[in-house]
Amino acid sequence: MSAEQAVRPTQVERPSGTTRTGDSIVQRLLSSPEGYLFTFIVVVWVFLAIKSTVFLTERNIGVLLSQVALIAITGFGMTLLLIAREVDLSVGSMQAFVGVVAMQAMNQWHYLVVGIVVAILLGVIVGSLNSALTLKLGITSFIVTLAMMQILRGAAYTSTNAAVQNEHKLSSFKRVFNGAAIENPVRIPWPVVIMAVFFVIFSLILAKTTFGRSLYALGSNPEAAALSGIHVWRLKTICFIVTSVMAGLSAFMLIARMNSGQNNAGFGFELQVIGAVLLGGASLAGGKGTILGTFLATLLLGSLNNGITLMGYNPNWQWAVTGIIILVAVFLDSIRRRYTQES
Amino acid sequence: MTKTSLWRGWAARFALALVALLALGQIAVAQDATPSAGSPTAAQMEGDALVRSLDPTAPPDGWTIPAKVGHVTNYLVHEWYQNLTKGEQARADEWGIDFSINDANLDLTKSLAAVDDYLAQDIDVLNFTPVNEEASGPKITEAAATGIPIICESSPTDGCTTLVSIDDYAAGYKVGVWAGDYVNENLDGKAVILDVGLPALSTTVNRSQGFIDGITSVLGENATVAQSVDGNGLKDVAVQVSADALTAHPDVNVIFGINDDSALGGMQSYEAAGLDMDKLLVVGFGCEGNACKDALMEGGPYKVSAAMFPEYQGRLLIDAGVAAFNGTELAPHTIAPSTPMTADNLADYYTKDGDTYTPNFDAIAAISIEGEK
Repeated sequence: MSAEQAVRPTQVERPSGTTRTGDSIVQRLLSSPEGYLFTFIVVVWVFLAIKSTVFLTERNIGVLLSQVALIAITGFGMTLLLIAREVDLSVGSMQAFVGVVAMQAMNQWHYLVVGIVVAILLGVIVGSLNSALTLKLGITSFIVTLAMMQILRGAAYTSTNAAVQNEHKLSSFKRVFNGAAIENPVRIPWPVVIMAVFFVIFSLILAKTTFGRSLYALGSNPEAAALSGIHVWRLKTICFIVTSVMAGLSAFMLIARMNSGQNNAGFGFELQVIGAVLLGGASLAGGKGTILGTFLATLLLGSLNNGITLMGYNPNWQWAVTGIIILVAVFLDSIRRRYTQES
Repeated sequence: MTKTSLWRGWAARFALALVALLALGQIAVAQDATPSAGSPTAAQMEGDALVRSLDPTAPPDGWTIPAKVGHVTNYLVHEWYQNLTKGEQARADEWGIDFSINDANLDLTKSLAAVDDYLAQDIDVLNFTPVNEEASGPKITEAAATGIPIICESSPTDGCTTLVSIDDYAAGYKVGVWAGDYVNENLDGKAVILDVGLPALSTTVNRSQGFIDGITSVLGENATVAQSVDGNGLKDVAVQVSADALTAHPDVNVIFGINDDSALGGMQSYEAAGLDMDKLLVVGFGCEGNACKDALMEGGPYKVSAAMFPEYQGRLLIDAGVAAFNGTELAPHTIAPSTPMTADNLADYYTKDGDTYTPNFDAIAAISIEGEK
């Protein structure tokens, strides 16, 4: 029996975003996490547009989407991992560790590509370690990646004196975050283009490939997935590595944004990423989540953060908003699951 | 109840929660000011002068040099503390003191436990940087009761023999006056300020307030604060909040940061926004690391920083401890010098050799602290 054949019977839930014939637009919007998030984004955007005259300007939308890109790119990888019933808490420390090492490498060799390769390689190494420790030793990924978070933060602290400054002065480096991929008719910054490319790739992988379908099956019922011939270990390892590589790439974009590798960067980043993925419809119990949901959740959180600053509120509310929204997301997820079981 | 109606119900509640949260954001949180130390007595002033003139090669007659000095730091990975403790270590070596560090890494429990550890080791002098000044008070008072001198750094804490730190308000005021003069000469006399602050700490609130008062003393109503944002003292956060604030206020032409990372983060966002860097003045605070000094020397918009000289403060911490150990009465606040540092006077205070900036202690010691408290 092929993996795809094995998956079909386990997909008892209606895939998110699909609707019954005859549903109204409102019913359709509220019948899936994505539609639900989209509705909230519209409400929040209308509210912010009324409260701040600059919210809907081209510049602010560019800033907002660029900021969202850092979380979304890592979030796409984390979505795969949560679907597979695992989690990675080390992505925040990756922002610091990869940042300082990649900047040191570019200062040493004076090539942009060296920094990118270092970021990807470190992602592969950290992801492989997370996977090996979780799957081979049977320790939960929460514990393994919590330890990895500390190890990477410590490594970042010890490898530099607070920050690694940009000594290579590569002109292409700053453009990674601050440059525009398209200038006309609207300015689209590079981070937005990079995020869009990964959005398409990850969406296609999850929706159109055997890998994606196997992942949902694995998360929904690991025992059944294993019995049906799905390579659980291989799939989870890929998810760990992909998540760390995406975290490495967002770390590279972050240092381009800051023009330095900071060993104190990324505090709380893991919570922002995991919170966004959960809000986007993923579940800590696995088997659920979409890339569209993750993107919309990231956009919602980013819009709130952006709006809080634009309206002159204390930006520390951003932390509280993120925390409350994570709680709300988990709560709604439990309601949704209970309702699904009842129906 | 149908699935759809259930979702609608929760959607409404979620929306209400968000609206309530946004409304709550309007409630401002008042910050306490730094406690006033009061005027020092004649004996304390004499002790203060003695601390500033100590020479390890010729200590006063009859003095005993403490064998062990320990410093409980709050965040050693920060460049400020790395340079401060380097200064302490160098001065301790000159005195022949066994100096050690125990870092709390922003963990209050760890910080208080480190004090107990040092007391158990019969330390002669304890240097202490609080993670939280109020919460540390009872432990430091308890430690002081054992009779050892406790020299605090950065923030005032109950029980300290003396606090070695700059006058944050005065340092901010001085650099604000410098900025006001610069704006008059180079930016048509009008300053629209983005304040990248840290409202959680009284010291950083004083820095921002001192700067605003200083620049206003020169420019009057032509100095306006477009927005004060909280950069948490971290560059990644400073970049993010500054980017948002600059979209709302693209007319900002002065960025003030409460530390190097805040100022550099604000400048980075300004550049990323595609705004004219020739019409910008960046004012920093601390200038403890190479990033600030290099930025000053580059000739870009980062023109001035309220230099705090961590290496010199490290030396003052050790000397204050040695003096207190020998019974010298110290003022509640041993004021460390600060001055607006620019590309023009940086060489007076630091000598650059390769990538290393070496402090010129004589020049730093000569900076006036008159009128500061």
